Amino acid sequence: MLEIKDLHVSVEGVEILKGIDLTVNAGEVHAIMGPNGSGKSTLTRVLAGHPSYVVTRGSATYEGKDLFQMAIEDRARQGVFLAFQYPIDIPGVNNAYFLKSAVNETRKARGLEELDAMEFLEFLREKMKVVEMDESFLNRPVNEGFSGGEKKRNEILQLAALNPKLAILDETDSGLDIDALKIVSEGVNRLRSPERSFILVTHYQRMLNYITPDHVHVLMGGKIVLSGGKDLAFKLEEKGYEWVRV
Amino acid sequence: MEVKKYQEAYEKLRGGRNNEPEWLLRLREEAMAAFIQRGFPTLRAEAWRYTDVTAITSALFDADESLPSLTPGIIENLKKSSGGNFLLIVNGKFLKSHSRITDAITVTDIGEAILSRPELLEPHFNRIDASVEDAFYSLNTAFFRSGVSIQVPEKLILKEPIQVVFYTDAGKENAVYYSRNVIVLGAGSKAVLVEKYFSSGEKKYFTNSVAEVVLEKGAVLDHAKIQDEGTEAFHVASTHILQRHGSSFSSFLLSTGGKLARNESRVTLHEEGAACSLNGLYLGDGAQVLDQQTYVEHSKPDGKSHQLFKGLLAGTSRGVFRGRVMVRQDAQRTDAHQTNKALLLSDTAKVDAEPQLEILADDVKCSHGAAIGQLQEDALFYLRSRGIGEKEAGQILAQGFAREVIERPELEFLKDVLLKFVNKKLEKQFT
Repeated sequence: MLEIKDLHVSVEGVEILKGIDLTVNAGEVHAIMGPNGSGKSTLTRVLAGHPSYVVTRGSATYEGKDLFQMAIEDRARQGVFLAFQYPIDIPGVNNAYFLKSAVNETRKARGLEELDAMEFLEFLREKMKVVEMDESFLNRPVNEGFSGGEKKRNEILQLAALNPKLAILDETDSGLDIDALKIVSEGVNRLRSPERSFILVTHYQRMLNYITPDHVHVLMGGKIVLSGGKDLAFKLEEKGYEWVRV
Repeated sequence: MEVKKYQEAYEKLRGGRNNEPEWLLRLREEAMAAFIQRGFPTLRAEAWRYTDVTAITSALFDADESLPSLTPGIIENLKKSSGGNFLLIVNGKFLKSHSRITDAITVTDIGEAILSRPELLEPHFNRIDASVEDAFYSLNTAFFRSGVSIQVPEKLILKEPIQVVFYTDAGKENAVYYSRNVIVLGAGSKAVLVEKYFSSGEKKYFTNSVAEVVLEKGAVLDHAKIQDEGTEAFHVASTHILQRHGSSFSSFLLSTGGKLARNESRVTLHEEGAACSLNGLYLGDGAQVLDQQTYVEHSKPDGKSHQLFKGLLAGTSRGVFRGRVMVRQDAQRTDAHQTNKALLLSDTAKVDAEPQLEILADDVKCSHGAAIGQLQEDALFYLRSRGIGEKEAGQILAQGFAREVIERPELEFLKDVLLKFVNKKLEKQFT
């Protein structure tokens, strides 16, 4: 589904990613772990197409297409989804209106009928169950005044609504209390399927107590320095990132 | 040269004014003399430093007596979304036969009121503005022949809004329409007043409008103005509000039409415990110039004023917000806040914001702020990363920006109409 080769990325002239190779097949869950500043967030944002991140070398092929040639919205419409670490507030834009625009734009691109207001509400109610959100969220401006946990649940709600093939979660576990972490993790587990792949970016192992990854990678200094199975996460938790360095 | 032309036009009218009351003739003479002395403002004048009016002064606008033919279709269109009391003013003429007004209030053509009920008007004319050195205001006083007088009696709570539609279909190039409106709310009364300015055709014309508003003790007025005139229209308007004890005034301005539109609100909180809230949204594109001016004078204690203006500007359009709050020595415990925020949708659009606070009392709470920016890159990225196209994302963000000032409880009945104007302008911008 996704094949990243020798990826080098710079931000404002500073090279952050220094040669990433990663292959994600359909249905797989990959966890990418690493200390602060290792380039984890850069990797997620460059895949989603943030304009501040410049690819200086290497490639990413998504379903046979050059990902970096695709506009931000086209990546999303074709199934790439990024759950943000810090979802931005959008004052004055109603959450339901935002979600409806996103869902309908995506449906249109996938050759599906757009949903009208009634159909959409019905559709969304189902999805809201996944993250145990109540309807009052829909009439508030996007993320404005949401707690950290509410923002993250709103991200997973969007994931559920947009039905992506490749979901990238950037530190979705950070800033969550244990109850919120459980809700979010269970939401993700319900969305796992043989057609959908996940890249979970995280600093800590604790989210992986709830979501079992197929592969774990350690990102340090802009490179993947170690890859393994789910046990690698426990080892890291126990021994710390210093252990990898030596 | 320009002044002379107006002087000649004034002399011509003078002969036909023998039946006007003495006080009005005197006011007209004084206003004309003031205009002759000062002429039109230039960029050197403090109040006009951001707006060049050469296009108005050089056009030599002239009165237009014509009335367009009004098909039932046009009338229906103008009445649309103008429920309640409806007043139709076409090319400056109040058409009572097409209007619909409750008997509970008194609505009179201003020319008629001057002749038949001058005592209703006299106390409210030029009452606060001896010091306002404004050429357009002077010209209005010297030349006006049309407009309406609206009197809401004491204690009347008017449930239905009063919607006044000013529709212009100029009969010739360079036509000018002076309108003078006097609105008086009796003690303890309550009303909603909406002014709408629309036009048809692409002729160049000039709307010069003055409204004088008096809120007696405890009166409440919610005012909204929608200015959506044609691309060749010039619009200079001022609204002067005098507030007595405990009265409350709120206003919302949508300025979106015209080549050059300037709206000034001047509020005097003349007695204790009066409150006003002035709000506006200006939407510019092409080479439009949209100028907003406010002046709030806190004269007595316990007054409140709140201002929020927002601008969305595209193309090479220019916006101006110049707001002044004056707190007199006597006006203790004043609470005054003012904010202007503008979003520039192109690299060539421009906004000038100039908030001014002048505080002579010592026990006050006052603040002002201005913010001018562009669409946030991270917000655009967020929307696009959800599959929303670049243009639509920009439109959603700009609309969200505008909503804060549109979604006001007192304007609930106008919300959809206002949103349509915003979307119409944004669609042009983002497609």
